[in-house]
Amino acid sequence: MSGRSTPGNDFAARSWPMAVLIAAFALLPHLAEGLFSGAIRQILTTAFVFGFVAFAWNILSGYLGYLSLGDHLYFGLSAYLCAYLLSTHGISPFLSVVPAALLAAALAWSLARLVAGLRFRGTIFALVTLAVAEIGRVVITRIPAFKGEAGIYLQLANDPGNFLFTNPLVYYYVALGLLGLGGVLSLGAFHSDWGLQLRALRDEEVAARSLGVRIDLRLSQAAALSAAAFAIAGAFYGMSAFFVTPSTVLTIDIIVTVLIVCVVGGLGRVWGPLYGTLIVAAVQIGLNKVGLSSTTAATWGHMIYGVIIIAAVATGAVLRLPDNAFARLRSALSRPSPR
Amino acid sequence: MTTLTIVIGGLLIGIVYACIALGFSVSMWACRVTNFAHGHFVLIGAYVAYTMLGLGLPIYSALPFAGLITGILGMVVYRFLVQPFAPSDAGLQIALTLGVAILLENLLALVFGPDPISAGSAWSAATTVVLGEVRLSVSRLIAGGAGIVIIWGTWWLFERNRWGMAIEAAGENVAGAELTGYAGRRVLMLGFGLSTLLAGLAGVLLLPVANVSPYDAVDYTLRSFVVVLVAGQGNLRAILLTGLLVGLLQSGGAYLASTDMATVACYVLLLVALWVRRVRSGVTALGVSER
Amino acid sequence: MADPATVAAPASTVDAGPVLLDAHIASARYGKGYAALHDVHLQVSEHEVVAVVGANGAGKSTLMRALMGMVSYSGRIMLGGAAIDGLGTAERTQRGLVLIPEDKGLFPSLSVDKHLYLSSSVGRPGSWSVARVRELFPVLSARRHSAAGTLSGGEQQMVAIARALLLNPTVLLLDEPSLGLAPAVCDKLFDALKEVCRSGLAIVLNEQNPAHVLSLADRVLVLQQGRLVFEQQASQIADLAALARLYLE
Repeated sequence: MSGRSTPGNDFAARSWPMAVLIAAFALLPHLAEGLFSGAIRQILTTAFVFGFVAFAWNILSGYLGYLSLGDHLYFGLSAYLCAYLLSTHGISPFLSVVPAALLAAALAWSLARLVAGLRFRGTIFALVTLAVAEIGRVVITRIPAFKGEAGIYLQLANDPGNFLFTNPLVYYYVALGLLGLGGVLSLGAFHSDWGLQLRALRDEEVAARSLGVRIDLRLSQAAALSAAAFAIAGAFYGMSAFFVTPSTVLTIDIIVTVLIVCVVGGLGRVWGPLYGTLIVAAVQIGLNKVGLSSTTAATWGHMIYGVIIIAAVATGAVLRLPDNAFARLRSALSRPSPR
Repeated sequence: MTTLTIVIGGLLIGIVYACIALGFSVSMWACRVTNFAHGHFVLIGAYVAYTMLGLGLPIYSALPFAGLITGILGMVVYRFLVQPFAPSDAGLQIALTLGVAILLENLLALVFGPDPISAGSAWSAATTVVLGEVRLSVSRLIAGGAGIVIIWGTWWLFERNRWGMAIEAAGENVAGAELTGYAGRRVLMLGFGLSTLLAGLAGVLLLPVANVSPYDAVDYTLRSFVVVLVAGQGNLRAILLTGLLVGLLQSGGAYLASTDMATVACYVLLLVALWVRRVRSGVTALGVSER
Repeated sequence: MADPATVAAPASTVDAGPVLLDAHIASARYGKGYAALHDVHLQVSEHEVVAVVGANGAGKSTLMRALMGMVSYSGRIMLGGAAIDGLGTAERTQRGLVLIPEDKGLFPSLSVDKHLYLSSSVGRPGSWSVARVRELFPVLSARRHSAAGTLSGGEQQMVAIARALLLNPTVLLLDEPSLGLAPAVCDKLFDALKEVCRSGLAIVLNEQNPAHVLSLADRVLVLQQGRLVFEQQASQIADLAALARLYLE
């Protein structure tokens, strides 16, 4: 049984479901103009973006098994940075997203290093990331330049150089592209040696470490990757919405939604985030059709989320197939590698 | 308000935090469960107390009811959700209890409304005690006293009572507990029930000293986590001291800056503690992670 | 290769009493690293010491775990005349079937005293008391407040045995009691076990090291690849070499 797949052909073979879906969504606005209302476009655009970050988050929390609950900080931080630099200094988000993503990655990396070598690392990591996100939210809200609860507003005008488009369909397609990118990332990571190490660590951490796999390094890398993805998504979102406020880009709802998407679609599976985000989008479209909009409805909606998460964990855990990642890693390492 | 008043006020609420953290500690160390909904059980206790007040009953009569409700609910959650689906995987536990937390939070919001509740002005403001130049509300004093009793009771349970010992034993080695004649699964369920019971009791104590809303629950979970992490495993004295410290931070921070910043200070404490531990352990060999 | 399982009906030794444990295990499932068992028959009487010997992986531990209900098996186990197959591990312990596992099963953070208290408070009637086990193992008094995780291997074994005795077992199972212990400590341990034997309980003992077996056992069972291949009164085994030959081939 080969541990290394031949690229190219295998890749195409494995990714065709997503390719088909992406093609379908690409054609959707043109083929089903009647059905494709503004609300649906909005929901789908958001779903694609969440799918993108979920793919990256899934690598950290699914493949490696370390739940990170604070990535919404990077989402908001990047959104704020890009919006601020654009509105105050005229810097294009195409430029500012890079340092934003790097900053996010560096923060996440440091946080992961902080929990290195501790017992109960998984629990501590989850709660620390949340605590840091809370700190970040309070700090960002108090920075004068970021205008607190009121937020930063961008000029509603067409400005391609600064990623501002009055035609929302542009954002739809860019988001779809991001989704595809996320899928490629997820698939590639799963079948790479790096990804195999992550999954082996999740299955049998002690044993994997005895084979030389460095948990702290992998945790930092996966966390940084997820953070960068959230940063990119945050910048995208800020531009597409033309404004950023704490309640839209720094809310814990963001990470909760990502968690739901992954858990519902299958935490740790390559295409889990894809299915998850489509299911969540379907639910939202359904709710939209029913016409719920009051705060009571929102509360009910959240309660349903809670039940969905519980049900997903219950069925997922029951159906969870043991991954033989560790066994494969061990055999891969014991074979002389053709390098 | 003099400094002394703030300090003592902080200490008294710190005792309540220590109680909350105690419950979290039991579930984390003894049951090996990360209960993301711990703060929500605290809130259930607070809302039970609130209901009692609404019925015209004295607030502390809520203690047995709150304890019973949260204790039993905790055992149910453990027996039917945690044990079958996530007995040991931390990631699954967090996801699962997160789901429970969201459910509880919105259930409370639905039933009681999303706005913060308080014990009412009749309770907090009117009755104060003046000792020299220190003004203390009676409610805080009673909360502090009751908290000390609860903490002592927990100490007794784990140091002198076979069931507390059994809970701690099962947390360390379920098979060993079975071989000593203690049904592991039942003991763990009892342990988790104990942790949620402590949370509920603390919630009753919390109501007179703080305004709470369903959405504050996560903050309490996080604060108790800070205490548990800084204090280390199974060290009751450290939990009490750290709880007091967090209470002081909260009280002082709220007075000097704002409640928000006080909470941030608490989380910064967490980061500092972790960093210190990291620096210390950087020299020695890294321990094996046990999840 | 030892003789195939021509097992004579186990003859009771002279002063053995009634049969306390009667186990017939048709098959036991693979656990992680535990071998399967096939058609193993084990009977122990009061006052009797039975030693189960065999190479690593022969199934000795699986046998004990099956007796305690820690691995699933098909068969029938009778303790004191009643079938216990439907009972969980804790319940079997409460009925008097006590196992001291290979890893001793202690609680690293709990003090020695707490270990003893946990067992004694189960409240099974019998002659073992905290005072009595302290007499048997003086170290239990000396280190009463020490956390079990800080004790040496030999001390931990003593705690394990002491708390097992405090459960006032009718049948005591020991899985590799001498594993990892220095020879001098071993000798002390087996002397203590001899004293325990005199009190009359039935003991089943897994041992890889045959030297201790002959000094203690009344009857020896040999397991090979999950099967019972030989059974013999200890008095009829000539010496160590003969015993070793039985299961090392």
